Amino acid sequence: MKARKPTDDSKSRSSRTSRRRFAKAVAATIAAAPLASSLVKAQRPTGTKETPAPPNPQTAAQGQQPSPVAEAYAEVARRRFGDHLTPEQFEQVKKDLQANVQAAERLSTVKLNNSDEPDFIFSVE
Amino acid sequence: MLSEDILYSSITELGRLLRAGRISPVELTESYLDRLERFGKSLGAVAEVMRASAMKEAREAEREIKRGRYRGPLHGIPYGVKDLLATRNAKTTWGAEPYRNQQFDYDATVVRRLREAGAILIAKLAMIELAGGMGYNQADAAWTGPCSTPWNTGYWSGGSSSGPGAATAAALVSFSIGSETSGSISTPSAFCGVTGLRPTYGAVSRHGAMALCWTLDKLGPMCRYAKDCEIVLRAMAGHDPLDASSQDPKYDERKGALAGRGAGGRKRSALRIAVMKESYEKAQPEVRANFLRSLEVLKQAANAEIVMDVKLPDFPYGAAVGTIVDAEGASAFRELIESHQVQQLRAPRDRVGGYSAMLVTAVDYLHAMRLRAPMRRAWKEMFSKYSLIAAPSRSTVAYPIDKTFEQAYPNINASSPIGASNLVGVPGISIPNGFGENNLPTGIQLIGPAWSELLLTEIADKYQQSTDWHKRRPTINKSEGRVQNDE
Repeated sequence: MKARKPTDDSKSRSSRTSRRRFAKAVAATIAAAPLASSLVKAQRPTGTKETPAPPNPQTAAQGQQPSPVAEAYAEVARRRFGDHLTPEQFEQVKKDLQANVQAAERLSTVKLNNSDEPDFIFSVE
Repeated sequence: MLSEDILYSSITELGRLLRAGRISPVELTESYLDRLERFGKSLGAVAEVMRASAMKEAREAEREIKRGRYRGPLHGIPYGVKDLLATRNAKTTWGAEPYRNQQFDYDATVVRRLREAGAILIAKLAMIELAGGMGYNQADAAWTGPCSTPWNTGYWSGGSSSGPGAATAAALVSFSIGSETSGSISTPSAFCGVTGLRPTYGAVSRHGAMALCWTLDKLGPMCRYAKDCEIVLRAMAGHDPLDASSQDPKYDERKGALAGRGAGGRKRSALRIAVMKESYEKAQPEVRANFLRSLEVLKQAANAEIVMDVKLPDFPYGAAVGTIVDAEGASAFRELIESHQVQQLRAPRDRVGGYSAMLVTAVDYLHAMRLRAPMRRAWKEMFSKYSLIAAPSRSTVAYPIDKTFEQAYPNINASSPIGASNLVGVPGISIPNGFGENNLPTGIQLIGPAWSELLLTEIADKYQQSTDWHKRRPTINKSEGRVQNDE
């Protein structure tokens, strides 16, 4: 990606106020969704499922109803990208977001210590 | 034109013929270019044939070899690269419509190093758009259209290094360079019946390669012979100041990489191969049978002890690799997604995959990245007990081109070490081991600890000395698009 420039986020900036307001709603919804989380944990697969290369967690959630958390993320997606998505595409994005939520739940089942750093090294020259 | 027998020869054999003056780089390059032009497009394997620059490099190689300046085993050998590597002499499209006219004014480090070794770049080979980072679920996910395996053109070559797989299998090139984030070398190697080596993370510079996922992307050779993979890797590997993740390989150069490289420092006779639990039991019947036969061959050929049904360390690999690919891929292609040019991609699934990836939270990404250190420690511990991990390269043969991936083989439900081994950055090799449904090839993958590439190629070479699957050739009938197994 050497040839590419950093993205100008001015478009996002213009909608910052409304997004900030909406973030609160998302936080409230997340706090109210333990049932969905435990459901996802119960469905955690034991193996590493073979997926097309490269893998995409989105395939895991096909056919499942979006959880309240995923619905909240979907609202974020609708506000950020909805004008450019057909209804069918938006439905797919909602399913993908449900998969994101499931993946996050699966990740959080592994407890980490405060001292466990991300597996990359920042260094100064 | 040179005979098919010559064009299907190993790099070692071609080098011997070139050095002895029995064939010339010019006629070898002409012959591969001819095949690229005859079969490349119908297979969907080619983004651009580089005839002019290739012939110029071939004439130069010919002059040098005649003058006695022989650079080594790759001198005068024509090859192709996945179209995500920057090249001065051809466009670099990343397989994606929005980048159809992208032109770089420099060569990727890998291309430069192979040129210095005397290899001749003859084609940019097709690939899945953006290396599959937007979540494709169909073969037709590139501006070049679907790429077929030359063994049966109704079936996919695999991705995302689709062109390298098909072109190498059909001897349109002598070898190729692919890339793997999580399965993109091993999958097309299996579906096309070639030998693909995924090096240790950092062994090969990615300067000039399209970034999908900085902490997972790797470049590696796709060849017909395991020994060829070693030759190409040696020419490519090493630290590059232009790629901070690259480092000089820590290979065991003692004669026979096996010496002293058994599990826990055991001697060669104690080579222990762990068979991954749940990787083969639910695979397609032919995949399973070929895999179990391969283990018997390895037992004899490599004097290996086979330990069945070993569980990988328990981590949520799928969730971690998916979260990391989503977050880094969305960052790498943020401009494409936010400008909605992503909607120009070929596959409907790819047009929307980036939007949800944009909403992966920083905390989830970091949690996945924090999990990689304990994963690496657990794998290191596993490799203190076992020299290598074995599993089928894929649990099925290639997918039909006209179906989505979910529709292809809905009842096959095996596990795979591909995502996990990519997360911990260790090398792997996929080698052909037979045929399954519809005359399609199958493969076995061997995974070793970091910097065990020479061990992997040596074991794979021993396997290939005892079998001839890697020597089988697909018969391409251009007019009918039909192929058959050439026994």
